[in-house]
Amino acid sequence: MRWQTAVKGKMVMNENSKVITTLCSYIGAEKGKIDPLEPKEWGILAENLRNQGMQPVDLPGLSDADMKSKLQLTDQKIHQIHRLFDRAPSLTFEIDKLAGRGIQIITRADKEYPRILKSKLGSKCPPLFYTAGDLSLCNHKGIGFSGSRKVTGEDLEFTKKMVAKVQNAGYGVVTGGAKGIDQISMQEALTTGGFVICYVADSMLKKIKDQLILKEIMNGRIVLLSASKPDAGFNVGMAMMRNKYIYAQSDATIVIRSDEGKGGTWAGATENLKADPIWSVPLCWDQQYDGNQALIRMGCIAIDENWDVDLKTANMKFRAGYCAEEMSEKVVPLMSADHQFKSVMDQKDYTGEQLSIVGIL
Amino acid sequence: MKDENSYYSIKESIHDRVQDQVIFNEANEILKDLYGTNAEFREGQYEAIEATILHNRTLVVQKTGWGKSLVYFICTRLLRDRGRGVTMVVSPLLALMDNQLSAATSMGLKSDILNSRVKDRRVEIIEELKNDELDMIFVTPETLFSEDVQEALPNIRIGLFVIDEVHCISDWGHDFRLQYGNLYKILQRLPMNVPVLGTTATANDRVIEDLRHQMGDDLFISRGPLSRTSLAIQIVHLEKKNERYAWILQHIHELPGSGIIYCLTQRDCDYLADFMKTNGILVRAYHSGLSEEQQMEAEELFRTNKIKVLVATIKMGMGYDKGDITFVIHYQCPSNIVSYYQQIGRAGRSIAKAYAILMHGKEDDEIVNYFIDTAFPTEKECKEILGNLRNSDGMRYYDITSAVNMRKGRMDKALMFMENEGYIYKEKSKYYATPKKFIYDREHYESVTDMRRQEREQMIALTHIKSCYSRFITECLDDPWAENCGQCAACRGKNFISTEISPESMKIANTYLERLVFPIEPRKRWIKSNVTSSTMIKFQNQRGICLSRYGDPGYGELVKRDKYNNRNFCAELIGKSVEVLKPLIWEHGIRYITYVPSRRNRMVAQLAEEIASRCNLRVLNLLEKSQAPQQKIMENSSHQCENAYTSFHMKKGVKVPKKILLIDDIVDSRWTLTVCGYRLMEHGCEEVYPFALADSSERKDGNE
Repeated sequence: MRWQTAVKGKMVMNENSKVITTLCSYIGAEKGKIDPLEPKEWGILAENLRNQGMQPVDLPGLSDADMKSKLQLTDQKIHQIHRLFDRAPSLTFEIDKLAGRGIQIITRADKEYPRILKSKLGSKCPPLFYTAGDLSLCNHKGIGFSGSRKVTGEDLEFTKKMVAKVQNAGYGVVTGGAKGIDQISMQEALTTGGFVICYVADSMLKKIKDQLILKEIMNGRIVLLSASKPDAGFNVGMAMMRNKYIYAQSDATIVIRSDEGKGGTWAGATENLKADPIWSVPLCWDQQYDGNQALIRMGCIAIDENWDVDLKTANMKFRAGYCAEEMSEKVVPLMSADHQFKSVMDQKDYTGEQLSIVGIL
Repeated sequence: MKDENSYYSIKESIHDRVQDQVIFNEANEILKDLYGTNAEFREGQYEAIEATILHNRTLVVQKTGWGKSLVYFICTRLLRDRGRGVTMVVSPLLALMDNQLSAATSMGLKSDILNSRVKDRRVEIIEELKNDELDMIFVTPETLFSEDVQEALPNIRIGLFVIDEVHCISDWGHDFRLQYGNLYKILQRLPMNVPVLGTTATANDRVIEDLRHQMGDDLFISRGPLSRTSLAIQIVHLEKKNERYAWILQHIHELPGSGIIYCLTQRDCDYLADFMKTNGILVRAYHSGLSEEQQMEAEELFRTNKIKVLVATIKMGMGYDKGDITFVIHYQCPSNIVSYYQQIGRAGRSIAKAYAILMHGKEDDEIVNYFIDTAFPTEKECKEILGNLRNSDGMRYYDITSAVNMRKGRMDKALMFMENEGYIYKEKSKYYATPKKFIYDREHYESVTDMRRQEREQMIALTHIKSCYSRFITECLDDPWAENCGQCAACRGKNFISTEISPESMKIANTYLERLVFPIEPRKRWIKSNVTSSTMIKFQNQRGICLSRYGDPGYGELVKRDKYNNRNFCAELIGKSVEVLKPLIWEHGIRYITYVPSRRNRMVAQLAEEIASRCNLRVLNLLEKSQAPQQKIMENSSHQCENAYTSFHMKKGVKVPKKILLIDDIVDSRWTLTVCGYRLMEHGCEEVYPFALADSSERKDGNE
């Protein structure tokens, strides 16, 4: 019987993708036993392969000597890579299990990989994403929504208004799938006939059991993407990484509510401002929250209920403000988002205080 | 005539095809170590080994006895010497694994088995796999996809995948298996550099083409002649069941040694085995309806030639490696040539001559057509289940049973189908819907069904041809080397075993079949439904008697006719009922009879009265039925149980005796008799003996 249909067409990975997944996926990995390549390591290896006129699929056929001389791999790395290739069969079972639940893997070698991320983030793009839903949604224009997990009635109202506005202008909503602003903007978009691109921060397996999400995936109105393995719980580092993808996916990003100097919303917004060129036109609700006002002072474009969804003007305003001196003063003394993330992740056990720095608690 | 065991001369030709001298030298050395310095590879063996080692996807289509296992044994040795992981041999056959294990072990490969029979050592074996201590593991698809093995997999290095009986993964194959559907997907997702070796003795062009798609376009195919000249085929034309029973009884001892009789259903196995046993033939039934202990006992008795015949379904099928099976008889005609070829392939593996005798009867068509027609779940069935799942946060099996009115077999089929297709998945004990859009590929299912009908026609055609049977079979398998065998009854122009039946054996068969009654086993547990939970039934019936199978030739036919005409049951049925009930009534001292009430007619009440008057019983009218849907439209056990439970009650103010006969015309799910008996016993009755004229419960889905 054609159970085949389940894996026909684009659902079967191309051979390059299979190699990338084998080397980079954390599924079934156990520290010290199976260590996948870090995204950065893969980036370098991929670059070296390209320079040799090779593709990922050529890697398994190379001798150790070739790996050493042509790809500048150390003996240790070569051993690690062999070990990773050895797990290909067993990994395949895991991938198949995910596919059976509606979760696919796309790698940088797939044409479905969000192009906009590649063009904006370049080598900072993760080697692979776990996804559920229609990936072509990523090729549509979108506006990101960012804000805290705790919200007031006012925040909620403003978010709803903005979602309606961007939808009318033909944009999708890009969110992080967390509680608070993420969830409100997503739900509002879905219940009013819009579409959503969601870079989720926690267990994708759990998310796809949600009846609403399941339904909207089938309707082709939401796509979920995650760089962390689908059975992973919430992870600080991944949540921070995800900001990058949300900003890069969006033509503009609206900060609804941010703390000042801490929290994921703040980290994401400042990371975007620091990027050169910026990933996303930075917009911020002109509300009397310390964080919001600080972001506006740093260059985010203030908007209110009367905003006309004119990104061109907003972008021009931002560029004009970019040269203003007050901004650079404001940015320099603050730690970059990367730095914050790193300093936390370097610790073995996170303390509550440390987590609050990045806005998790 | 080709010599079946002739070695291929490697002198010139093999060297031309050796791509890798190192592999050849090593493989050759292993072969010579095993079989002595004169040993040489059979045609195609080395090529298959080399193709597998050089990371090609390899398909071996060779007849039974060609030496397929040697190919992956040597591959395993070579790969392990190269530091690769364990060889995982996925095989559907429990019975075969022990043979393979001892062969592998004698080759010095550290091997083990993982299947449902391995219980105490399971954890230990999985641990050995994780520690990379095994060279080869034999595993069934069911065990491979079980939770504990899947959990351990990330830590198991697999160096080579061998898929035995690989034709099972092709849905164009004659016996596609659902568990193999999972393997198909795994194959698709495996990186091309992982070596995969598929083996089969039965694949026609169409299946090979399909396998090529599945295993990869640069598949290396090793294919050889399929004709097995040690087999002599004869066709025995006996339409009626009693004639075939009689023929088997009369002629079985003319066949030397021991062998297999294949039946299409478990029930046929049980009855035929019982008939033979009753007449002093050493025999065991073998099918998946038996307990594992019973199966193993039968295998062991057969393996050691302690019994003459194993009466089996296709459960005793592919790859069973007992070299001295002297005959294979088909009591019924299998669904297609490929199955047939495979089944007769069990015989004569290491003996010079073996017999294959094909019978076919009237009821075969009905059974085979039933299998063909119900192979796929219907669109409606799928949608009903899926709709329920999509509007839930996951459902347990029994939640689904009570949500949908569907036969268990049908529901199981639909669940498995949709899980394979990726519309639903199971996690822990719950089923969930996936976001995949449901598309019912009717066209494809219909074309597969059509093809199976054509294959059935081909099989029927075999029973009518006058030319070489073996040639016809191998031609159906697209074997380019097909030729007249010179061995079969058609080639020889005479039968090996007479088709004559003596009046004596005919009489024995008739008497047996007429006396055949069927037990009504008491239900022991309630099933989960809206009104019952899965607990022990406090008041259980005694084991009862059923006269016939509804619609079967003889009494079953009479029941069907009378029921259909809605008139009283005929004198023949009543007479027979009295005959089978009398011993029971005497044995237990029963003096009362009651019946399952109906709101539609008095047929059962009248039957009870007739039986009562002839057995000297008193009829008591004890039960009543409230307005309820007919039990027969309830499709699964949960619905049937609920409906019966809410429909049947005791009449007000009646007195209940201690022992009573409870009769009904047709028994299906047994819930009506269970509930009626329960009500009687609730009110003081101590022993309830059910009786019914016919059993209409469905044939077991699947023909194992």
